Amino acid sequence: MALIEVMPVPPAGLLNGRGSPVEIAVVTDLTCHGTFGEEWLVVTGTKLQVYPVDNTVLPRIELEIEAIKGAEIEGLIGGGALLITVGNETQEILRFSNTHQKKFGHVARYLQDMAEHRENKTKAGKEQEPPQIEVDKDEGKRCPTCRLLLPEGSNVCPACLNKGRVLLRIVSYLKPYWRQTLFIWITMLVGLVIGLIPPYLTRPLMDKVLAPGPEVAGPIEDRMRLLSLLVLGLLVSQVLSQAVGIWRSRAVVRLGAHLSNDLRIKLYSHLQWLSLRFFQKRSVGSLMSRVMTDTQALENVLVDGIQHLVVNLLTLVGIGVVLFVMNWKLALAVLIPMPVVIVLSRVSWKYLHSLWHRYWHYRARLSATVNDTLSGIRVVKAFAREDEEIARFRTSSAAMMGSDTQAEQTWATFFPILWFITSTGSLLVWYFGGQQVLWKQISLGTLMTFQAYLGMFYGPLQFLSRITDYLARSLTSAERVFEVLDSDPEVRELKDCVRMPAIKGRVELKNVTFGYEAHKPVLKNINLDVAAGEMIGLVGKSGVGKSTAINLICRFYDVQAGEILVDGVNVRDIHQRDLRSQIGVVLQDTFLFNGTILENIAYARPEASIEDIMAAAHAANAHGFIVKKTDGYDTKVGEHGQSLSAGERQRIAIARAILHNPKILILDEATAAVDVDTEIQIQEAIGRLIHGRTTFAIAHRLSTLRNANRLLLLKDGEIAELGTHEELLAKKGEFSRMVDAYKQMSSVVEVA
Amino acid sequence: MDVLKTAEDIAPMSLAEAARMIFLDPAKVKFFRAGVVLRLTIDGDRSVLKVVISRIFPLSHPSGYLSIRDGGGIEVGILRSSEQLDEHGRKLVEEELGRRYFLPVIRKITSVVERFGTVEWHVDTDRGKCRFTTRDLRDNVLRLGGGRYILPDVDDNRYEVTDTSRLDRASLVSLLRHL
Repeated sequence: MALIEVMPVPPAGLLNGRGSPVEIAVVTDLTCHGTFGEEWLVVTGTKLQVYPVDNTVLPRIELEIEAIKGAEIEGLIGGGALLITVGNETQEILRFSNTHQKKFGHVARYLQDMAEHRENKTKAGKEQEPPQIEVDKDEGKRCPTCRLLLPEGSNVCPACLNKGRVLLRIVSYLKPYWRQTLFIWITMLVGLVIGLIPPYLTRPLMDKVLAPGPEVAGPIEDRMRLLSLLVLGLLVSQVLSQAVGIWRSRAVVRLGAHLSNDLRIKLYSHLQWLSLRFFQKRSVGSLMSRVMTDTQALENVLVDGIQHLVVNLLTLVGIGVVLFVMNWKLALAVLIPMPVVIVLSRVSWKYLHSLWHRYWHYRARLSATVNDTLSGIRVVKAFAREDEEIARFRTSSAAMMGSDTQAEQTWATFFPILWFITSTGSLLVWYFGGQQVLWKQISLGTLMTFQAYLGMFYGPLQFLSRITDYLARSLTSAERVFEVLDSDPEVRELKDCVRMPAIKGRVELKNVTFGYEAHKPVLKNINLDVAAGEMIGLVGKSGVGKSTAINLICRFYDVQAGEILVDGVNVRDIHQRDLRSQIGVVLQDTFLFNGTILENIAYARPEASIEDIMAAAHAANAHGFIVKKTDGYDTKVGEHGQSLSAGERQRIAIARAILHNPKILILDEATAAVDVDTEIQIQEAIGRLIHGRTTFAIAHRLSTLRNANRLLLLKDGEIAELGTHEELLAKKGEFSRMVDAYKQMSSVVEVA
Repeated sequence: MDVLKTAEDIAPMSLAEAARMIFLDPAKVKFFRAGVVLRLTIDGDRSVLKVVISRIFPLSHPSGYLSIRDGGGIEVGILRSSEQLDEHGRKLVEEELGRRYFLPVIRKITSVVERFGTVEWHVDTDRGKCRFTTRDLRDNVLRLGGGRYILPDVDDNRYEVTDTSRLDRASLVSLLRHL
């Protein structure tokens, strides 16, 4: 694949007439002097050239591809430089800012691979597969159409988002409930028609009963009878209208509850399947508000919003028609203020939208603050930071108050003004209609009926001028929900994944490179072959990538380069459930769910027998302390298991992993919180149990790793030493230094 | 590496075996009392001078799985159930459990008064009439499913409702109002 950028468009002539096909044509944003400026790097089969943007004829640098011995990126602060070695000399080809870091990383790698490829070819004399340039599939994090930076982890561009399509998508959730929806719509239309009756009765009430002209005035008895009839008519229409209204509202509530329930469940299940990286970038509080608040808002649009929109539109059109039929001149008078209303509404739209958005953001931040602090309340107290936390909350709360006030005040100002302008139409009707009554062009009844209908006309009009704001609110909520629903799990399940119900436990890492951020590898080119049943101890300083290696074996993340094989199959191809169900993990920070100890141990294998659960707890040395508790295994462990000590929690987590009966066991500082004696007991039990199971254990306490077949010492993301305990000691390297330090510390502890 | 066997070569070890749990054979254990102290002899093995019996699953399996410990708190073994013991032994074990576990069962709720967030209960239990006070009951109550609840009071006493469907209507209404 060739890497030729289309954004921005390469200067004319850059890609043409090169003799050999262009393989790379990429832009950088810095000049060789470190100032901002566009330059293009062009690589063909024979030449490497750098052109300033304004000169596509004369390259600033030109090299023969054949002469290139190597290429690398020099990481600078805020950017980097592409260095190329020709002969014995390394020269700087171009510079770039961090924006292009990743891209030039690929370019340098490709050039390096090409150089090695040529060298191998001349040395070995045989033809090999030429290297390929890596092209990022998720081309940046920008919208392909408008170049807007996409929201984190989302592929939806809010600017290019078609509002109509969002609405349509929202409506699609009504599909399973089409019967109820239809019923609601019918009752709505019926209610609408019934609502039109009372004003219609006003005209005969005026013209025939209350204030008839002398020419139509009938005998008083007839008028009395007509009066009773008309009032009865009013009563019936009102009773009917209310009855239909009640019926409809009940259906609406029911539908709404079902819909938001569906949405919440859908959102939550999607969240469960998303990769860890998604959660790393977001706070629990903000995700919580999406599940709770935003789905609620979506429900409101679906049930109330759309319904109101349609009712009001129909009312508006219906009454509009009635008004024009009754008296087109007066109807025109009503429309005079309309253009102003529409323009004002549109202006306020955007402004209010941004205000509400800010308010929601502050609200989410506030709830994230509360959630954070309350979860870490022990730390807060331990460091006596209560006052600071209160201050932090005060700031957040005040920010929310400010944004809320501003939004509400703006709303409170716009609304009456809009209302006033709209209702000037009614004044015009009084004036012109009054004139017509005086000139006996229309009856008083007609004017009164007209005014009554006009009253019904303004409500929907008002609503429709407000609908913009209303929709804005709901659409952003919808977007936030859809953003989650649309983000794909990064760790994907292949369609034709391999089912592996019985893993044997051989684990191979081949040239594995990985970093949480693509251009900062935590693990570099790791090669490791672990036989089934082998125990590998991972040692090294904090942050060298021990836990990362484990995350990769569990496939919490996918590797960026190289591959991880289990029983010879790439983990990407293995059915995720099959893989994870045979890996048991005890992590550094043990997490227990709200529930009983029994439930927590059985979490990994809910069908396990009671005796197996006890045995697992026994093996983890947890049985002893559990039976001493009042409720034994039925003891509730509160939120985050606070009624247990760290050591107890860790032992329960170990029991959970033991019960899981995994083929591959991962112990990430699993026994760090228990005392040495207990650790030995647990190790013996685990040792008996894991006999023949592949085990990866991380420990700072080197004695924990005494059973390991081989030890792997990581340093700066690379394998520094690998071998048995004795081999590493004999090497007198890093490991033996660590052992000495450890021994010294232990003896100090003993003396103390 | 060649010393290592693969997972297949090794006969799977049961969890209980691997964990070295001891289950007591009910035919071989003899309980007897010396004053208030319960003693135990395991045939052909040893005697334990002071025995503490506790339920391993007091809420989910109250009649099964008893942990038998010695005075030092070390577990002697697990008894799957007291049922298989001889008549005398069973009586002693039940007696001991009755002494150890004080968990009155509410039969009838006679009155419930709510005042400033605390709730005062007057109830008839299987151990007689009593009154107790609860606070934040909704957060603290143990919901065991099947209409079974355990209500902790402010003094850490606990009261059990074994089955809400067996309560009379008035009691049920006053209970559910606070759960």
